Amino acid sequence: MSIKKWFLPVVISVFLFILNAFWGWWWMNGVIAFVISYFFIKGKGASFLIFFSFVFVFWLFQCIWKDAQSEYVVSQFLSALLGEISPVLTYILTGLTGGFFSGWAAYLGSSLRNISK
Amino acid sequence: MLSIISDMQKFVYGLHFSIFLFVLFFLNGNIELFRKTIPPFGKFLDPAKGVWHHNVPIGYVEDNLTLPISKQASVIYDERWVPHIMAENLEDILFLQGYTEAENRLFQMELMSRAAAGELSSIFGEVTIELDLDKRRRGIKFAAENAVNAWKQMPEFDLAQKYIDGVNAYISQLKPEDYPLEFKLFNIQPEPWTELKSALIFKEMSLFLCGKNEDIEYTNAKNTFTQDIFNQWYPEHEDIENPVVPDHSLVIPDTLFGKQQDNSSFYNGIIKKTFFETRNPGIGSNQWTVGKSKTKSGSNIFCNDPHLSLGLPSIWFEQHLKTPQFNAYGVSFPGFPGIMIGFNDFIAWGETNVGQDVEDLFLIEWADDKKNTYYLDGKKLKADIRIEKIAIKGADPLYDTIRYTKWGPIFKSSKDGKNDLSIRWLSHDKPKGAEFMTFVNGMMCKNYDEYLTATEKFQTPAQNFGFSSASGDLAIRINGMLPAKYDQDGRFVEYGNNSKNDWSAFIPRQLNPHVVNPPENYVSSANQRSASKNYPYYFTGNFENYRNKTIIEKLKTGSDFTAQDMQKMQMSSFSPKAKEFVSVIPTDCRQMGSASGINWYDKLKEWSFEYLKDKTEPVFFEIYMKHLRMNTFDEIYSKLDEVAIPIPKDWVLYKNILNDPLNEIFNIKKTSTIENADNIQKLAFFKSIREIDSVMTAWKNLNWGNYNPLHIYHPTRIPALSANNLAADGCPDAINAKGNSFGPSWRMIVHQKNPVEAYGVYPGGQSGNPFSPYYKNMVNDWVEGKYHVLHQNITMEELSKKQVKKVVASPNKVKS
Repeated sequence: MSIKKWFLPVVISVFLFILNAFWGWWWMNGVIAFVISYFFIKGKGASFLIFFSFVFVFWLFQCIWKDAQSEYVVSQFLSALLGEISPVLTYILTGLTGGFFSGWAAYLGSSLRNISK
Repeated sequence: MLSIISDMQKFVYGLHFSIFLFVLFFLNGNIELFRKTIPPFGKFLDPAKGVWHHNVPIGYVEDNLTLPISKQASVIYDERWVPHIMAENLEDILFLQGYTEAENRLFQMELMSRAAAGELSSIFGEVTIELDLDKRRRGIKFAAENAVNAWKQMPEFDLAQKYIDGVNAYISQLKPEDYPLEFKLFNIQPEPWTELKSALIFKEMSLFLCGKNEDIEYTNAKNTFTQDIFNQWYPEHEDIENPVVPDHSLVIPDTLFGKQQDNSSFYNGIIKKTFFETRNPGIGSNQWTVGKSKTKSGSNIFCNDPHLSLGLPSIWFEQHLKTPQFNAYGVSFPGFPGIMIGFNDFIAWGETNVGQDVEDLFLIEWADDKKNTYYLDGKKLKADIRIEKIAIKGADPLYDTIRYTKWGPIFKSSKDGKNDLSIRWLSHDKPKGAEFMTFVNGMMCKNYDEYLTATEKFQTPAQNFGFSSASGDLAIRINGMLPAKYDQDGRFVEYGNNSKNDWSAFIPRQLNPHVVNPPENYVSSANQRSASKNYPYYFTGNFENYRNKTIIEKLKTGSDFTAQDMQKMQMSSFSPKAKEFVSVIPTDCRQMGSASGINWYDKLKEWSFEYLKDKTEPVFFEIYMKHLRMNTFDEIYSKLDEVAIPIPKDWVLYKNILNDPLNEIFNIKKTSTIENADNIQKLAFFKSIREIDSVMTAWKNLNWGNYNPLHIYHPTRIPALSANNLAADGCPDAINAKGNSFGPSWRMIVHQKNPVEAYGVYPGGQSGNPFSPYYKNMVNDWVEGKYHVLHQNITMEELSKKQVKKVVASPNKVKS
């Protein structure tokens, strides 16, 4: 896949993700992933991996950054809420939730493109 | 072939997509599984708008708001997150009070109003249906609607409306990401605040404080035992009493209440178990003032510690309200305007519960099988039918038909279907005065006369209103409406087919027990009887018998009191009950050995009778008291599964051990021998040793703190939001009246020097946000008996050094 083909979806996704951070819903990441995969990414596995990784890292970064601002009380709370799991796992759980959902949406987008062609 | 593969692909894709959509809706909280409420995990974990959004950045915060107030105002949060609200007039103060309370306690306010209305199931699902049914059948919403209808006709209501406007101003600017955590957890949205919601919170407190009766229990006791046994084991008066208002302060009217006892009005049968059993009675409150001749400084010291259910966030919200006209500091109930317990530059005020019975049960005689009509004074009357719809999350709504008679709603029904009981509760009545202004007007007073006028419209739940002024006055007034009853009236279930059994009058307010500047130079109340036997009106209810004695003894014998002495006194864990019962344990018990080698008899005799968290004596004593009660009252315990009968009070048990040890109640029915008090005490002691041996084997470090831990629950009972298993000193009979989840919910001491010095603490924190450092930051201080200085007379310069947040509120329109 050429750089040119990568460039547009990345720019669009970054733009939409930033937009989503200020206005939108948690599942908008999935919608974006679906749309981009449908138009730009042929491979289902590649779509899944790209968006899973991207949103996983994006959510992970956001929650760690926000948590650090309040001396990590949110992760401690979630840890207690979810049965005394490690606070680090709460970050991973958050990242996995966003990543898996978006990855799956991307997989569907790419699949639809393959079926409709 | 190609077409088949394509169809297969489409099928697989469709399957994927369907599962994906299901997961989407599931993670968004739109799908319930197994009729259980599942948190919307996707929405909840969203870093942008979910739980991670609730991080509270550390450091100073400044905010500017434009609000519909008349002049610029400010809200400055100090180092404990106590808001100092400063405005130019009362209207703006009330608006900002509403705004600030909503900003910090919105979920608590919403939940409390929904709990009162019987609407919890709309949030929590089927698990709270019983609670909702209880509230609906008790008519809490009916009572709140009656109150609102009356309040709205009163000119003072405009001020209360300012408070409501303030709450709504906060709610209206909320974005979904700013909803309090619990709203996200349960996937609900804040609704506009209304006067009905404030009224519901007020009625919920009425329910907690005066929504108790033991009519069924006492009816069963009266009809189970002989008259002599009943009188001996269920007396209403102690031999020596310390009423809140001593005899010399009683006002004896020229014309006494003329109604005479009429035993025929009482139901003479046994009422089997009902659907809604008696509530936890709670453990009361303390309030006392020592006058200037008994303090070291020569200034009054006012103390109050109301004992309520402890929760996170606390039921109280601490705040400082200041205008050019007044400078008040204290605590309020979020959802209701004014300061309930507090002080200003001139006076200090507070309350304890009176406990007089204002809730009676009447047995309904139905005139038809469908229970649509009932008999009253020989006539058939139609019952009002109110169909209550209870919305249940994840299930179809439940419809409950509630019948209202002349007395009130049918609240209790026996499980055998034979007895329907209608409840006559004072809180159902339409208020005749602007009771909602009591704590707004009270916080602005400068002397006792003003305070009397400001609080005279308070109706229910009746409270002992404590008062102290910087000029040296001290007083307690039993404030509220009290039904004028004939002897024994309201103690038992009465027949509901005769309107003569109703309350025919109320005690004139000027004749309510009242004491001002007594010669002993102190006043106190601890939920004991407010008036003595000599009070001309029948006074019945649930009263305290131990704490008041410790308080009065300390106040009577002490002198040169300081604020620090008062702090120690509020933390006293001494139990006069333990001292009494230990003093009469037979000496033979000393010979009873324990597997641990501890001689519990000697240990108890050497005990200081203080319930300290690191002591084991309180554990043994509590086990001993349990066995003592169970062996003495075996004839009651054996019936409790079918019939509710009250266990006689401990002070009555002690009195009978001393004065009538051969009484037939001490005999254990199932044995062939005749037991007396001495035998029962030895048996209880023996069983206690056996039990504590097994307890000590199971517990490595047994002491009062871990045997009887304190739990401060979040309303949802989610452990991560609560503070559980706290080891703390105290017991219900001590001044430091700690129960499992009850206790001194706000300890306040006001030393009325010039300037005023005040101290306070409550077990919780100011913020309702569990992620805030101010959510439960005062819990440990409270457990350890530490107090905080209350910054009521702080200068702006000092406050600016302590401030952690400042909000400047500017008017959004110019008022003429």
